Amino acid sequence: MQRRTFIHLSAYTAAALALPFASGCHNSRIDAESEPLFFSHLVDAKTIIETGQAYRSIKKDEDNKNKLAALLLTPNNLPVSADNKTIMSSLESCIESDFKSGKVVVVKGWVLSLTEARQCALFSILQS
Amino acid sequence: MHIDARNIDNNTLIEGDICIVGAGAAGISMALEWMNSKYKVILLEGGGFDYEAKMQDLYRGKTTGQRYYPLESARLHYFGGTTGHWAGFCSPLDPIDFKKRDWVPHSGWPIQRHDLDPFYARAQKNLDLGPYEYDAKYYEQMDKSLVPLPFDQGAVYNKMWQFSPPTRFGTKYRDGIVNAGNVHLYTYANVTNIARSENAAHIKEVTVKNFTGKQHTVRAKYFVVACCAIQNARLLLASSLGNDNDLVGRYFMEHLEIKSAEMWFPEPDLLKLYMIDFGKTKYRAELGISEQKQEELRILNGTASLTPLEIARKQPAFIDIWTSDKKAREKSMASYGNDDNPGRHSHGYKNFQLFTRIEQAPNPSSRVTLDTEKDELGMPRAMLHWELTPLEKRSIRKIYELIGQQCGISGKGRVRLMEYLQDENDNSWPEFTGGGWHHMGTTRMSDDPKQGVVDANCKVHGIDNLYMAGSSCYVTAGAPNPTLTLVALTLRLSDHLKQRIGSKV
Repeated sequence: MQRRTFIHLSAYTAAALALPFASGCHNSRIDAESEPLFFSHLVDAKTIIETGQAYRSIKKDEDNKNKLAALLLTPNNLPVSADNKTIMSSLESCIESDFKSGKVVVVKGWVLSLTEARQCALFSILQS
Repeated sequence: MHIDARNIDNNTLIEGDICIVGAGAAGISMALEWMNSKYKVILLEGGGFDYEAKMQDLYRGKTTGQRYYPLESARLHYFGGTTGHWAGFCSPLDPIDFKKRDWVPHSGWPIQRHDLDPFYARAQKNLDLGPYEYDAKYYEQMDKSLVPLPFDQGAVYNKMWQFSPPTRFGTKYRDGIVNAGNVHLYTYANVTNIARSENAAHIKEVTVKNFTGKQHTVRAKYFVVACCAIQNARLLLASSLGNDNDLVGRYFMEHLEIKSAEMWFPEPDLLKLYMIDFGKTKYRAELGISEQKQEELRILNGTASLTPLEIARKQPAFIDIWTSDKKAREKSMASYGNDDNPGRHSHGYKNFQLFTRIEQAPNPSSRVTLDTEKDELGMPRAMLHWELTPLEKRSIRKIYELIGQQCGISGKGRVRLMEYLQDENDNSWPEFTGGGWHHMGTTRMSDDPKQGVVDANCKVHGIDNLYMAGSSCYVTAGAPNPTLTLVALTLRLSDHLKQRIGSKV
């Protein structure tokens, strides 16, 4: 999926599934948090939503927008004032770190880092 | 010299120093080692020089358990054996394959990889392979376009395969064998019984039969049975030999060969190191799992090969198209490996199918037995019960989780497991589960007669002059196709026999 598609989906509706991404154009902090950047280059928004829904059904205790948002930001100790670019960059580092340390989950068959699985979950909530 | 056993007098007595039963990769490799020596070698082949449906029917048998190929189509019953249709995939077993692994029941050979290394080097020549070199770096240095995936080699490494042309033993070695003065090749000489002498620990003779109704007797100092894993077991069982501990036929192993996952990249990649163009490629890599990771994850040894997804999706599962009808089989298999649009290769691919080739855990319940039904020569037919365990499935799942992790660490892409692997509590197998037509383990090797049928020299325990050659002697299967290893084991057996016979002459 191209990044512009992701932004449109985040901000508006699923009707924009086919539109490409425009990098860095997130409307809000939570949009930035919910974009699994690398994964979004491989699959479409529908797949991300389905993956996120599957993660939420496995991890029912995380099936909450605020909780997921907090879980995504907490490991990075990011200040509330951090801009979207910093958030995304930090999450990318977190994903790499997850893979290295074995924080890996299998969701709908995808071998994902815990962080990007949570991003998918958050994204699916935002789209619901 | 060649003798057609149909054309000699009934009840002929044939005598020699060594009698080799079966003229496939193992039997012919053994005969080649003794060619032009002072010893008289009797090489017995059940079929002739060409494919005959009637001969194949002797291999027919029932299968139960895990769905399997028709037995009469999984092996070829003529001079050259199954090298008549093999694909030529060769790679040695890994050192870990020979070791006792506490997470793999019944593992552990009485020999180690280094014991086989010199014989692997010799076996390479029989199979028209390149140098005995299976380090990926050797090939990467030779061809800079062979770029490995950026994985931690301590976790997922590049296990190399070499490809035989593939050598058809029946074609390549026929003249040499037939023209050798000391090798007496008998075609249409199906061994139906192996008889002990009055001294029960010694084989006196074997009985051969053919469709003319003739029966002959072969006597020799040593007998080497090289008929393939199912037929080796069948012959011992039918002759009531070597089975004091109820081990003959048990531990039948196959390689599970099954599509398992997909690897997705954001940018196309050629992955030339991992690709195969049948008939042209001399070597390629598959993704192997390091010994350390196998131990850590407590999994079986397996590899993943990569095929562009758009090509792989057009390829049906072998188990669905491999029938007993030779023509239909050949037609179905003809498209494998042939991309009908080679132009696509220039930019590479973003998506690849990951196809597993993995050892089966040794399992005494996975076995060959005798049916009450007999073949046309009066031999009980073989029955195969192929049985897998949860360890195989768990291992496949873990392999792709590990490869997926390496993809993530390297930032190269992501891996997706196929649906049948997604539920870790599900131990069932999908319909398309198949094997590699690799039969192993039915006369397994052990120093202990209670654990194995043959000893470390492939001699049947308790019988001083009966040897089994081929993959029936394997204790574990490893990931690689068995031909290279079975030829290496045969050459080792040949050296052992030379030592034995030499000490007596």
